[in-house]
Amino acid sequence: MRTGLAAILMLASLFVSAVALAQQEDSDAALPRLGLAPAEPQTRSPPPSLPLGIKPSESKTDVLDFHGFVLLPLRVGLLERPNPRPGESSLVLHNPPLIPQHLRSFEYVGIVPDPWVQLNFIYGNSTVSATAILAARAFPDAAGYYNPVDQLGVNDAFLTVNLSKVLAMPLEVKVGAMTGRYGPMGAYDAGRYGTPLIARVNAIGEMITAGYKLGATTFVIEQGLGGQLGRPPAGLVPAGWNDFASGDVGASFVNHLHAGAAYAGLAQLGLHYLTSWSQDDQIPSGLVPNGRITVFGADARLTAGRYGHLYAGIARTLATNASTVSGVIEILNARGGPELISEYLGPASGGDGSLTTFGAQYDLSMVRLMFDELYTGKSPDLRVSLFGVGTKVRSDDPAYDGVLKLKGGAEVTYNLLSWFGVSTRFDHVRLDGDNSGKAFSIFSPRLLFHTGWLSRDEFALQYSHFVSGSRVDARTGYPATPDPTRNPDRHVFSFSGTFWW
Amino acid sequence: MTLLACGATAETARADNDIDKPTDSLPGSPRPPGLGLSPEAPPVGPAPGGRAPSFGAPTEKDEWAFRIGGRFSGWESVGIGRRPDNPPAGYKGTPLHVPARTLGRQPFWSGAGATLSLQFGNAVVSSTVLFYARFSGKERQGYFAPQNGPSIGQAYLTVRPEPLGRLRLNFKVGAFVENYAGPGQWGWGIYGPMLALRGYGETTNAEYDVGPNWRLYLTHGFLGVPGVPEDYLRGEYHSWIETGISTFVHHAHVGVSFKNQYSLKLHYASAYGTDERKYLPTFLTPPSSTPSPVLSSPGADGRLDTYVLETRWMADPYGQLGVSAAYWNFKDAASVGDGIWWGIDWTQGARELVNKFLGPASRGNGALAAVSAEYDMSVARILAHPRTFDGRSQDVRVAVAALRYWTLASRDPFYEHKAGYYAGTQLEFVALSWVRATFQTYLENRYTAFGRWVAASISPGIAFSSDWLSTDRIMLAYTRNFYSDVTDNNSALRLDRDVVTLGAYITF
Repeated sequence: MRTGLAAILMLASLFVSAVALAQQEDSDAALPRLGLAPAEPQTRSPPPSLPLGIKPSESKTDVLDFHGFVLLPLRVGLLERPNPRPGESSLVLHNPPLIPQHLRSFEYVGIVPDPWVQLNFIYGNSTVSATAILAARAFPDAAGYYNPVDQLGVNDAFLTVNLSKVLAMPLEVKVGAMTGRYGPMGAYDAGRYGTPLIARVNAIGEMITAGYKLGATTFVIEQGLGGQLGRPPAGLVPAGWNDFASGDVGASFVNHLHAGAAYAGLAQLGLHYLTSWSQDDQIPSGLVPNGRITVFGADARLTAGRYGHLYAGIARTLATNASTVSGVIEILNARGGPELISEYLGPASGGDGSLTTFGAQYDLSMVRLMFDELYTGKSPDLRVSLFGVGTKVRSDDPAYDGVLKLKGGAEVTYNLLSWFGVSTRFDHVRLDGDNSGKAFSIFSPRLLFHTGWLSRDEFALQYSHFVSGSRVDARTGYPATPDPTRNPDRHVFSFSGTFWW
Repeated sequence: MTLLACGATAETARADNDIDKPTDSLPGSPRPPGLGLSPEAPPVGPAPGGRAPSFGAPTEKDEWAFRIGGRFSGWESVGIGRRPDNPPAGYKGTPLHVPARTLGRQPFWSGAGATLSLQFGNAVVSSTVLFYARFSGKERQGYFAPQNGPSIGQAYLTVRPEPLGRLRLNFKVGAFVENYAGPGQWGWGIYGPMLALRGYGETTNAEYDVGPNWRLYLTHGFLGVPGVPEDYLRGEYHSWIETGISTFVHHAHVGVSFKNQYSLKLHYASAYGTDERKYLPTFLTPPSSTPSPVLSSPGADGRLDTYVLETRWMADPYGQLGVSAAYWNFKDAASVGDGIWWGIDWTQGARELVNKFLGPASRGNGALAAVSAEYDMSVARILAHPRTFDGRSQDVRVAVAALRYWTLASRDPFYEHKAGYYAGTQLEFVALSWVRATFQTYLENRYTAFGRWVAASISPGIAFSSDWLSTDRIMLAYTRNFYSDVTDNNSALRLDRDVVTLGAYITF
C-alpha cells in the first residue's frame, strides 16, 4: 500500500514537477535561483507571462487519476500454398493474417483484433484537470521491428474546465488536442465495428458542452473548433516514417456543432453538423482550390431497460475538392480527403461527391428481458446483438458513382459461468451492392474467459472462417495496397487478452 | 446532472461529480446523455461477445492498485582514439569518440533514458505496460533517432487464479519477452539467459508442491512475431534489421526444485517461419549481389530448435552456482524471425547466431552447443555465518562466469567444428555505505573465417550510493580494451583502447 502510494506520488510529481519544485524551493528558501530548473517546461510562459510556481489556491484537492486500455492479440492466418517448392510446406502461416480487414476502409468490421494500448493520466481537481493519453498500436519488443508511426506517444493532451459551479449551469470547456467521435453505435463504445457512424474529429482546439434541464428532459449543446498543428512541408517525400504523408494536403480546420435532447434516461436524439476545410496556398501547384468536407447527421438512442439498447443514425457527407483536407476529420475511418477519395469517391472524382451513410445496432440481454431489474448481470445470460452499416456513394468518378456498400452482422453470446462463456459472430460485407465477387462473409465462433461476471478483462480464443468473393483483395506491402495476386487467408485464429480500468 | 459527463467519460477524478450513475452496464440501462464518445475512450470496439462492460461503463469498485516501477539511467562513455597507421597529412591530436568505438562486452551500456513499468490490477488480474524513452533529440543525442522512442515496448496481462489445492497457476497474455536458463542468481547472469523469447501470445505457468521439500514447475506457451512487409525500408531508423518473416514460437519447460536449494529445469523452444518473400534477400545474401525483382533462389521454410538444461545450487552461505547447457539446431534459419530472441551472450535471434557461430556460408543450417556457468558469493555473508548478514556493512561481492561453445555442424567449412569461449568477473568492494570500489573483466574469444576474434577488457571504477542497500549509483570507471588483429582490423580507424565512463542510475 505504501509502495503504491509512493508510486502515485512519484508519478504525480512528473506532472506537477514545476509546481512542486517551486513549492519546495519556497519551503527550503536556502539556495538562490540561478536558472530554470530542468523540470520546468521548455516553452514560453503562458500569457500574460505568469511566473511559474505560484501555489494553486486549491492545490490540496488535486488528485492523480489513472486509466488504461490494453488489447493484445496473437493472430495466425492459415493459407494453403498453391505450388510449394522444395523446402516449402504446403501450409503457410501469416502474422498478421492476410485478410480483407484494412482499418481505413469500409471492409473493416473489427472481428480480428488489432493491438492497441492507451494510458490515460488525469491530474486536477473538480474545476480544472489535465489529461494526457499515451498510446501505441505495436510493441517493438514483441513486434520484431520498430515502426515509428505505431508509437503514437502522447496522442491526446487537453485541459478540462468545469464551470458548472461558477455559472450555476452545466458547462464544460475542453481545450487542447483531443478526439471527438460522433455516432458511436454502442452504449459506451464505438459499436461492434469500432467506427463512429457520423464522423471523427482529430483536432487541436476547443470543445464546449453546455446543458439545460427542463423537467425530465435534458438538453445538450456542444460546439468545437480546431485544426491540426501543421501540414506536410513542401518537398516532403512520402515514406514510412511520415505515414506516407501527402504534400497536396493543406492546413485543415474543423468546426462542429451538435445538439441533443435526452428524456428520462430512456431516449436521446442528436443532431450533428461538422465542416472541415482547407484554404492553403502552400500546396506545391499553388492552384488547388479550397477543399471542404461537410457532414450532417442525426441519430437516436433508446435505452429501454429490459428491452435493450437501440441505436440508429444517418449521416450525409458532402465533399468538394476534398483532396486537400487533412485527417482532421475521419469519415467511416477514412482520414481526410485523400483516404475518402481512395476508399469511397474514386481517384477520378477530383474529391467531389457525397456519402449517404446509415447504421444501427441493437443489444439485448435475454435474461434481463425475462427478469427485468431482478437480473443484475451476475448469473448466466444470453446476449444478442444485431448491427449494420451502409453507405451510398455519389461521385464524379463513374467507376465509383452509385456504389452501395453494406455490412451487417449478428452476435450471440452465452455466459455460462462467472469465468467462461461461448460466443459466435457472423459478418457479411458487400463492397459493391449486389456484386457477389466483391462480397465476403466471416463466421467467428469463440471461447471467452474472464475473472468475474462483470469483470473488465476478457481472454478470447477465436476462429474466423472467411468466405471471400473472387474480387475481394487483401492488402500487402508498405503502404498496404490491394493485391489481386495473393489469395486471402481462409482460416484465422486469434487469442487476445483485453483489460481496461 | 449528467450533462458534463459527455457520454462515456472514464470516471475521471472529479470529487464533486454528482452524476446520476446508471444502475448497471447491461444493455438497455440508462446512460449519461452525450453527443459523442469521450476523448478518453479507446478507439476500438467492445470486447468480443458484449459480456464485459465497455471502457466508460460504470461497474462496481474493487480492490485495485496502481504501481509504478522502473529505472532511470544516464551513461556517457568517451573513447580515447588512436593514431591511424598511415595518418593523412596534417593529422595531429588525440581523437575522442562518442559513442566509444569498442567491440566485445563492455561494462556499461552507454546512453541514457528511462524505463517505466506501469502496473494496474488486483490480486487476480493485472496489466503491465513497459514504457521506454531514451534520448532521441538533437539536444542530447546529436541527431534525431526515432528508434530511441519514446515507445511502449511491452504490454501484457497476468491472471493469477485462486490456488487449486497444491497447484498454483498463472497466465500471461500479450506482447512480451521471456527469459530462461540464465546461470546468474536472479536468472540473468553476466552472459545472459541461454534462451529468451518474444512475441505476441500467451504463457501458462504451473507450480505444484509435490511434498514439503519438492516443487514441480511446468510452463508452456505460444508466441507469434509479426512479419515485416518486404518493401518496408530496412536500416534507416532501426537498430535491428530483420528479414522479418512471420515467425511462431512454441515453447515448453519442466523443472523441479528441492528445498529451494537445488533446482533442475529443462527448456524447449522451437521457432518456425514460412517464407513467402518474392524479392527481398535474406541477411545471408552476399552484399555484392543485387536483389532482383524475383528471387533467383527463394528461401525455404525455416526452423530453429533450442534445448537447454538448467541447474542451480543455492549453497547458503557460500553463494549460488548456476550451470546451463544448451543445444541449438538450425534448419534454413535465415528464414526464421527473431522469436527466439537471445542466445549466447545476448546474441540476438537466429540472424546473429548464424552470423557469429555458423558462418554466412552455412545458409542457416547447422548445430551449436554451449555450456554457461556462473558463481555468485558474498564474503561478508560467509564470514557472518551462522548469523544473518543483512548487507548493511562492509562486504566483497564476487561474480565469476564462463561460457564455452562448440559449432557442432555447419555448412560453412570455415566454422564447422570450431569453438570459442567467454569469461567474466565482477567484483565489488563495499567500503562504506556511500562508496564502493568496482572491478570488471571480460574476455571473448571466437572463431571467424579470418582467424580468432578476441576482445578483452579490464574496468576498475568507483561508485557512490546513498546507503548500503540503496538502488542508486553514481559511477566513474576506466576501461582498458585489448583486441586481436582480426578484431581491430581497420588500420585507418583503430578501435578505442581507453574508455572513460561516467554515469548514474536508480531503480525503483
